[in-house]
Amino acid sequence: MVKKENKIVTPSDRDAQIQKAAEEVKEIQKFDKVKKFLEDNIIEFDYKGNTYRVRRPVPKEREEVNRERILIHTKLLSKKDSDGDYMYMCESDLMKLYLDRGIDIAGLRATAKSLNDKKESLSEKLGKLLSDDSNDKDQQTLKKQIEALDDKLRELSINISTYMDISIEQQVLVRLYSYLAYVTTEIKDGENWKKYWKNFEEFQNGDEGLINHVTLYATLITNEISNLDRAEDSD
Amino acid sequence: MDLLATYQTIRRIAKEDLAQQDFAFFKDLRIPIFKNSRDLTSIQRVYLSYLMFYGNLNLDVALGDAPEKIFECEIFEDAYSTFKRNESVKKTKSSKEDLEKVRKKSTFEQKETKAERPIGWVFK
Repeated sequence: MVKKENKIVTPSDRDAQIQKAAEEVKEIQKFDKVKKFLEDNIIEFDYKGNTYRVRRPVPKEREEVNRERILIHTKLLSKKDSDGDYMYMCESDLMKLYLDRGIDIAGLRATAKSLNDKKESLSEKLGKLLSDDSNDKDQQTLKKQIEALDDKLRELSINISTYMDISIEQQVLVRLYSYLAYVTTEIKDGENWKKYWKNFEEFQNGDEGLINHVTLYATLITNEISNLDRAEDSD
Repeated sequence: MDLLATYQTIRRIAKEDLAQQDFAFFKDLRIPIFKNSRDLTSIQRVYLSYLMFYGNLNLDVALGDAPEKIFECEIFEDAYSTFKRNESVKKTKSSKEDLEKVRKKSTFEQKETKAERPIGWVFK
């Protein structure tokens, strides 16, 4: 019989075990949370002692959000500064301006596409090696190359997003998701749920942490933006 | 919870045995897996595509077409899937070309036979 080794558990071991268990519980909770909102399109959460939920917009609310989208898009398109120049720029105009300042957005996008093509090619090679169940060393080398490409792609994507963030198209999206969050956030009141913010201005002046939460959740449970104006019945 | 982390979680849920079993069961019985049976949200569509993605990988492993090793990491899973997809595209393209060759050959042979026929026999 193999004698069981008596291992001394140090306080740091115990802390690590507790931390690991806590992380596992957190992971299970996260899994359950995501599973639930995948099923019913409702995200419930606690924040500063209250229970809130963000739910999928009903057709009437979708229409309202779409109206807001059109309104803000038109407003940004036509707004001029005191010199009579347009204040905001479309993506295409912004790209031209960046090019004048030596930043080639189209070039950055082309680089991203080329890196993506390269990734696809490496991925196919790796897939073949896996399928043939051949050389493990080559598989690991290709894996590392793909990881490096992923890092570069992520960096490029962040750069492009940062540059284009001020375009009318992006600003409309930001407003759209904020409005969606305002429309669909409810607070638990006893056994009932009621709309949390009375108007959009109240939402804009609200708790920043809460706004960040609900805006993210609103992006998760909506359809693609192009479908927002489809006010058809949902089940 | 951020957007990227949520998508990662969705992928991991879709990979779970339980999710795969439910998906196969509901699919066979044509029962919707979400409360809304249509007009799915973008995240529900992502989840469905991951369910199908892992369903295909599981099937290939079960049939012995792919080694269990592909489940070692997401890069391996994606790589195998890319290879498989491209192979399938190549096969379809090649089958289409073969079919086109056969069709052309058969049309040519028909023309040849037609030309060799004595003109008068049709009226006999």
